[in-house]
Amino acid sequence: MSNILKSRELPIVLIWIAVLIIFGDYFFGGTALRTAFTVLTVDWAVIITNIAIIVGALAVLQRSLNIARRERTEKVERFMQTWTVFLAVSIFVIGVTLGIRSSIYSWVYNYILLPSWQTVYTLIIFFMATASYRAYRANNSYAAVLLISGLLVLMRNAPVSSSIWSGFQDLGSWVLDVVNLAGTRAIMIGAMIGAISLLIKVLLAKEKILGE
Amino acid sequence: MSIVVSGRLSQLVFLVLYSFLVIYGIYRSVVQGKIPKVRQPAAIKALEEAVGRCVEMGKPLLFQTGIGDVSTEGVTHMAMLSVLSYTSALVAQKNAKFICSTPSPTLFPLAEAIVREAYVAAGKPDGFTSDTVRYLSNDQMAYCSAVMHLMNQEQVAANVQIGFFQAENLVTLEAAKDLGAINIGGAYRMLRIPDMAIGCDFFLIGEEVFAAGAFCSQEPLQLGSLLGQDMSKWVALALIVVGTLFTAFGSDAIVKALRL
Repeated sequence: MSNILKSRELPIVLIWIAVLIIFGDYFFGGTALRTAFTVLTVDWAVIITNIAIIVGALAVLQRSLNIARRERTEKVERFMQTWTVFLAVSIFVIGVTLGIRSSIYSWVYNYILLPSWQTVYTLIIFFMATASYRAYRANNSYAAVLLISGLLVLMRNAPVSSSIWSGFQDLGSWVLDVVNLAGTRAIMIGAMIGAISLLIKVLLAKEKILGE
Repeated sequence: MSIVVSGRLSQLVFLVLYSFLVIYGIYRSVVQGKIPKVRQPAAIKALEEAVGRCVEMGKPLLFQTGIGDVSTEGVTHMAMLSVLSYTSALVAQKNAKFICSTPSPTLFPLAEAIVREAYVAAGKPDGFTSDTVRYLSNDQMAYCSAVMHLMNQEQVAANVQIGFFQAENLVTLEAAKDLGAINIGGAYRMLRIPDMAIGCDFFLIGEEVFAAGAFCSQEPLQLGSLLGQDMSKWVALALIVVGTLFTAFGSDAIVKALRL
């Protein structure tokens, strides 16, 4: 049994089954395929994703504990890693035992997590604004084209632009509807062909990541 | 009564055709031995230079896996993991310092396994430590600040971010640029391509991201798949030209055929 689970063929077979069901439902329809598709994308997708999250969470906890136990780790970091693990496990236990609608869990969410997220988000947004200002410079010809296009679209959307020059509307729309659309479609067609190629290699078990 | 769902016949035809072309490209390269000559993108060449730079400077290379779980954007993550495999093999061979950061708990074990395997394959299993692959936070902005702290703390000499990124993209690129690090990126989403264009020294666009694994490995099979991809693009291009001509002359035959 363990040999079967460890074999390279098993994931490939499962991928084949999933691909056949998803493509079959999309192209051929039918009640049986629809049911299989729903079971696959709703039930099994949730189950597999949750298993992946559990594996991921355990890996993260294991790493934190390893760092905390390591002798050469500084005391502050050791404390922080232990504290993080303790908090994570505590919140998990509260969520599982009392439910995510319990007052304790809600308190943790409303008075610890939410303010922390908002603080970090606010700080990063300021950095993002200054980063955009610093980054969007005409360092080379491509960046210059991007900058000019961006300015034209900005002027198209700015209410004041029509008072300055009525042509901003048409010029900005032309950049968006003609130049931008043509480029977007070319890149998207190429990207989708690339994705198909990757899928074929996975189905043929020739993708290196799968251990080919 | 049609077997295929109405409006999806042409999609099925093109899917089969593109698949056939990719398989033919692989067959031609592997079985017939006609390996296509492929120009390697500057971003892939730059990976080797970036590793060399890190060795010379004694500073680490930071590889970011991109945001999101395995269940979303799986194809992009798979392409990213190919580049991670190549990059970690390079750093292991050249004894460069390496850090891989991830905001996804589901990508973390995958990245860890791939990097560990690269070190083992290079005969340097001790080079891989619990600090090599780091899970930072699955909250986008918390991850952002953690990466910026990591970059400053470790004084990275190169930053690689190829895959699925969102608003954190420009912020992390700019933070690396502030440190004087080389930025190598790659995105297929239109929203992120401008960020990559202005923030990166070298970057991959669109299909190059999916083909990155093939570019890295230079194996006949992988190069053959690139040939199939190129042939598929020629088919798409021909269809665009024919469609434009038909439409210009007042015929909607191609449009109707594509709606079958």
